[in-house]
Amino acid sequence: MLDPEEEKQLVARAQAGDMVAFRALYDANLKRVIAHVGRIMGPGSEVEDVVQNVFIQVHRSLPSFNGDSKFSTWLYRVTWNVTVSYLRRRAPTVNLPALRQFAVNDQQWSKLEARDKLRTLHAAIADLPADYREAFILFELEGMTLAEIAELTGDSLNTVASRVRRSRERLRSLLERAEGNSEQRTGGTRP
Amino acid sequence: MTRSHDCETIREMVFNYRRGELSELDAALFEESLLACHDCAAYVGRIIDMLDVSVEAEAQVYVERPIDASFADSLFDSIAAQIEAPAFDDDGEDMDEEEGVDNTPSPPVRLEFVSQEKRDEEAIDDELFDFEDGAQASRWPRYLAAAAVLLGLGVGALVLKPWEKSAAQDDAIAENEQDGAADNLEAISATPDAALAKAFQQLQPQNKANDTIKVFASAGAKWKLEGKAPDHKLRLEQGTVLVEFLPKGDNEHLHVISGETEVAVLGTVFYVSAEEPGEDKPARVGVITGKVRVKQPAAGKEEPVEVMLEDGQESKGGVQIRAIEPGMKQQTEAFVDIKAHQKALAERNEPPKEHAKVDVEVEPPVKVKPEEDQKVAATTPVRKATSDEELRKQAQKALRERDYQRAAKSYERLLERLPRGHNERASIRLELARLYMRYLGQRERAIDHLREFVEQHPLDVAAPSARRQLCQLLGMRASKDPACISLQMD
Repeated sequence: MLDPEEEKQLVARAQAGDMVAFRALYDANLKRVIAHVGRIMGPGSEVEDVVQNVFIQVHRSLPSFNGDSKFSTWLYRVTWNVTVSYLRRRAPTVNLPALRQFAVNDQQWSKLEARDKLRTLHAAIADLPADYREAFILFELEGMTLAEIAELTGDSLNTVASRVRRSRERLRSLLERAEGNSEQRTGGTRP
Repeated sequence: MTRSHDCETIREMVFNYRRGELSELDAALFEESLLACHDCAAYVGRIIDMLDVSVEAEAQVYVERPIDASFADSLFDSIAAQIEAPAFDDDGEDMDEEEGVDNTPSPPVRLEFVSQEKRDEEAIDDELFDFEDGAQASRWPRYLAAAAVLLGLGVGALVLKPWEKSAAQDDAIAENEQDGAADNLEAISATPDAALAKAFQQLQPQNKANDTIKVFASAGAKWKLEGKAPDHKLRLEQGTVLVEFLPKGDNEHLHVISGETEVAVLGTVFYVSAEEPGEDKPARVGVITGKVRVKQPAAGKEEPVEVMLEDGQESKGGVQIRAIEPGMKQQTEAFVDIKAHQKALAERNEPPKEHAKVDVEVEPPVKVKPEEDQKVAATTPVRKATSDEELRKQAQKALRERDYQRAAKSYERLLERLPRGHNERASIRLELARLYMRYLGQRERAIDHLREFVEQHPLDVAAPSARRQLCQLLGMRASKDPACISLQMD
């Protein structure tokens, strides 16, 4: 983790074309960017490609970074834009196997590996509009407040709240539908 | 027997529980409820597990190669090669010139948060909400019967005791006295119908501390609310008031008292007006829709006469019944969506089907409806046919045209149409709060909507922000307001 002054100096040098400084920024932020991209896309081979695109875009856009915000904030926006752009250009897919994992029983669910659970979550929110997914990820996964997200995205608090609300409903709906299907198969009922 | 939430409530609470946004008591009750419901506990566990896995997931989970020095080096080599190559993406397009903004980093965003102290009324626009989802409607009509009462009284017509306001009544009493009383009286003295029409034109929203009784008053009106649910009283000394009465249950009543005229509001929409001052000229009472019971002096009668009025009927002097002026109905609709109220009344009474049927069947008596009024009635179905989507578009169009009054009106109508529990009601409430606060200068209306939002959607993702805004708008009143007492600042 870079201290703010060190980061500021590295940014300035990278803006001037210093690839050593750019590499230092890359090393300091690589895992964070991977995690950001992964939270938006879900686990998979494409994450690496998108991370690569993110840093290419960071390099190209560095001259426009004027330091008004924290570098991490600016980097987040670049990461988000590149990732969402990638997803929009990619043919939409529905990960049916991942969605089916909603219907597994408690014991099976607890044994699912973390990556499978992540895939299930992302399959559930995959068809949400990008803005909705962003709000959901920032709120539920990044732990930001509505006000912070509104500041970050430039949207109003009501808009952000609406997106989170819809995303929650989507997740609940999928889970409850899966439960219903499961009950139909087993003959069980929900109180 | 321990208290416990039902499964549906638990499912609504799970997100806030996970974020630690439930109160200590609610969290304890939530956990206790899980012990009593295995399926709910499984559901909650799955949601929390799924989200927590994502939160706790390290970068490594998302990529297939180990993230080590070799990974970093090889990836950077690819990046460096791309940087040094011409700026074309995989599709052979110049990335910098690609359409749209998605590949163009947004301008840096300042993460400077406004302190609570600085969040004044203007901040509500930042904190609260623009409207993206389309709109929807107010919840008054949902619960029930809505009654709009117009009381118009000349100053000389009544002798009323000075208002006595005890501390205990502070919250229950709303009083409004404006400077234009004398002028208003002159106007009223002209012709009864013209005076009433003018009074309608002067109506402005006044006290709306709750959703049960909302008052619209003309200049010069002096009135106050008394009593507590389920028995409300409205006393009018002078001027004109239009009241929407929306009881939350069959046992909730409103009595309007003005001089020797008493009106018992039994449901839906009606008005009362005494346009001709004088003790021998009793108030005029008209019903837009629904029923009211009127008790007032009548010519030649020693005792007050009691009559029941229904849709389209007007009483003056107890025994005289005639059709209401069509203009009154039209102007009332500026404040009250009559059809929506009728629908809401029917919905409220739906569980006992027989009861609902009785209320729904309250239709204007054709025999007393004048030709002009029938024209008004004939246009009503067109209004009713307006779909939610059309209203939503109207509201959004009005917003684009900066006609905030029209936008608010459309949103109010939408809100009235949407069933309780509709997922868009929350957004509409917040949008209306913003419109009233920011653009229409109706602070109390904004407070009403915020309060409704906080009460009706306590688990909503925006509830904490809305509560903060509500308490800021309440100002000095916040310290006594239940919604603000347990406020926890983020």
